[in-house]
Amino acid sequence: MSAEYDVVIVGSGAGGATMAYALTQRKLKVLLLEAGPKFNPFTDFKLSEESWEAQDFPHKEGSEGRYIYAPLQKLHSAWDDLRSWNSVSGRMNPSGERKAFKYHHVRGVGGSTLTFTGESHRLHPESMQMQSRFGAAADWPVNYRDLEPHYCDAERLIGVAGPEESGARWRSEPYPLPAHQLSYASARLQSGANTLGLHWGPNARAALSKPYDKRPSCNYCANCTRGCPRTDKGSVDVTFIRKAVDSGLCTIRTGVTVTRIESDKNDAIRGVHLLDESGAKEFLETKQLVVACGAVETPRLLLTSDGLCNESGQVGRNFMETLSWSSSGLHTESLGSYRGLPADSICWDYNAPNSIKGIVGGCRFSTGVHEAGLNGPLAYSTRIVDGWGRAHKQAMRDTFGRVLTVGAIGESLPNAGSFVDIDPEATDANGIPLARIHSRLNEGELKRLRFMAKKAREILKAAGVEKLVEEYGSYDYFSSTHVFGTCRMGKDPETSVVDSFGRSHRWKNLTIMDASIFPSSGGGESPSLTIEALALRAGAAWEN
Amino acid sequence: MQFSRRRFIIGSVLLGCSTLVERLSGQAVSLPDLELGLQAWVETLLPTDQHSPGAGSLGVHLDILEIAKSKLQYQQLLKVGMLWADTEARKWGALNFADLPVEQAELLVGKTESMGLQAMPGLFFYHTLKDAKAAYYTRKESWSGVGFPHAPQPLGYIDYAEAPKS
Repeated sequence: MSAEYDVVIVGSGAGGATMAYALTQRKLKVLLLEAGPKFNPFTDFKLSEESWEAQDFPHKEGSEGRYIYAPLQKLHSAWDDLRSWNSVSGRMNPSGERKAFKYHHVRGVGGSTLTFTGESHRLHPESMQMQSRFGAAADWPVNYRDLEPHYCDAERLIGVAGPEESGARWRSEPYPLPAHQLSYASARLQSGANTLGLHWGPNARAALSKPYDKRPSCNYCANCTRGCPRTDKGSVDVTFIRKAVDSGLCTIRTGVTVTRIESDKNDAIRGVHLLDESGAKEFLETKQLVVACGAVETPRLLLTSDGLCNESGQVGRNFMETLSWSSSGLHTESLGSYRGLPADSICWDYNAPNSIKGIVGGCRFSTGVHEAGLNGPLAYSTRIVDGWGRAHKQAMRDTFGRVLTVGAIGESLPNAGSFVDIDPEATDANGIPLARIHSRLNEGELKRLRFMAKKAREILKAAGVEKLVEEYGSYDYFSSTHVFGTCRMGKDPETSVVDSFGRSHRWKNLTIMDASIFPSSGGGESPSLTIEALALRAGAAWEN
Repeated sequence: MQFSRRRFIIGSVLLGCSTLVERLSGQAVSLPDLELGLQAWVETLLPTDQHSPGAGSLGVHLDILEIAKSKLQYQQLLKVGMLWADTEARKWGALNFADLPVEQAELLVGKTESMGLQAMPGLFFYHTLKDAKAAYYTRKESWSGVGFPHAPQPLGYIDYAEAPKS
């Protein structure tokens, strides 16, 4: 039973895995509970099969969760330039309201890092002071300088490859591995961006540019999001979890669903109720509990545990989503753009919160061909090249490998219309109420999205793209790739759920460690490295 | 019960074209005939050329029939769609669609395309093209036709920084 363990961690994504590693370093015995299955990179990720393109990230029993969406926002003709479309289908969402895209998260050992691209970003320092500097969102209770050593540790443990320049982010030491050489296609984007006066260079990537830590280097197959079968991508299963298990102090139980957290009268957590591997009910006492289920499932677990940890009323509030845009077009020249490392190059010029004129909140631009899924013949035939017969085959031949995509991700600011609560009716297979997502894009988000779209088109044109073939964005499709804020951290227990170490302001032995504790989203940075740095910091400060 | 969009649309269109469907549904069609006709159909959709084999040669029609095995309405659509194409082909003096010369087969496929999704032949065209592309482009034999060298692993694309070889 749990008496064997010093800490129980619920969830094995970026936050839970890194906490497991950090706590085993402190010689603590850790039990990691994961609702989903374990994936074997060598056998589960089928990138060698001829049907690879028809297979997305593999589905395994229990690897996909469910949530409900409250009615999504109505669309308005004033923003029609932000509608998603492609050459074959025309408007992708012809309805009058936003639609939810597919379930983006993975339930399994490693969580969504199994399917992430692996961008390893530090947050822009000014993005951590959004309230005091710009009157938006909330300030982080930890500053960049305090987090910086832990960013270095996380980068070293993962094996991040990156450039010297990293967009206004001060570094105390170089990246552990040299940056990847840009792909031929990305180099065209770099040239185009440079002609517009933009700085465009290598991205920081959790993909090995050299063999490192008993893992091989990347071979540029362009499919990080389908799961890396070589283990060169720094997902947490092959980095933090592997190291935690190797310590002999970490036990993992998969297929275990925590249904409720039980507290006692002394402001402490007693333990967790769960359904074990066979579906039988079990109660697990624990001395310390870490909840790391992500910005949707963490508030769900707290709210269904009699509103635990919600003294501030902020659990589920301040939900921030992924504000994204991608424009794809055909380059005049054959680029072989199906090759290379996804998101290998980036532009940080508009990342600072005040860098877009008239709008609070920044964004970034990067190479997006592979994340848009335009890296195989099937995608071209269904999204880019219409028709049939000899003309279709000729067009496929003329077109394949010429797509160039600029992707953009922007700041998502919290608003009263965006939150996560518990659906009053829908339940999962175990009878536990599902999380319900409420999402609203305010005018600021839409203006930022319009800026992102306009700039993406300009960059493509400057890079030699003659014709756009597909655009996709958050205006008409809700995207949950990166979600934040539903258990925000802060100094004041009246306005926040946890402190800067993820510790509950009230419950003595409860820590939350995932992107739900972010007070602001950043200007398009991918969050995994920041989650990991926060977890390493929390682990280093842990009181045994 | 899940009610797929495909099933709903096919059901509605088949219902809307009930006279035509009834007339064609009454006709017997053997599986070998359906296979032969569908093979010629997908070969017209994605034909053999000097760069790669066509969909019919690669057996894509069998994949479509496999998909239809668990979808009764799709089975019916394939049957009446192919019977309609055979009937049209006979007007042009052929025994059936598979008997048409390439140019006439292309004309007939073009005619079905122009009929739109509200007409049964148009729906037959739409679904067979969609499924034929999915099956065809996930066969490695088709990749030489677009210049895609091999599946992403185990080799990767280590020439990624160079201009593609023509």
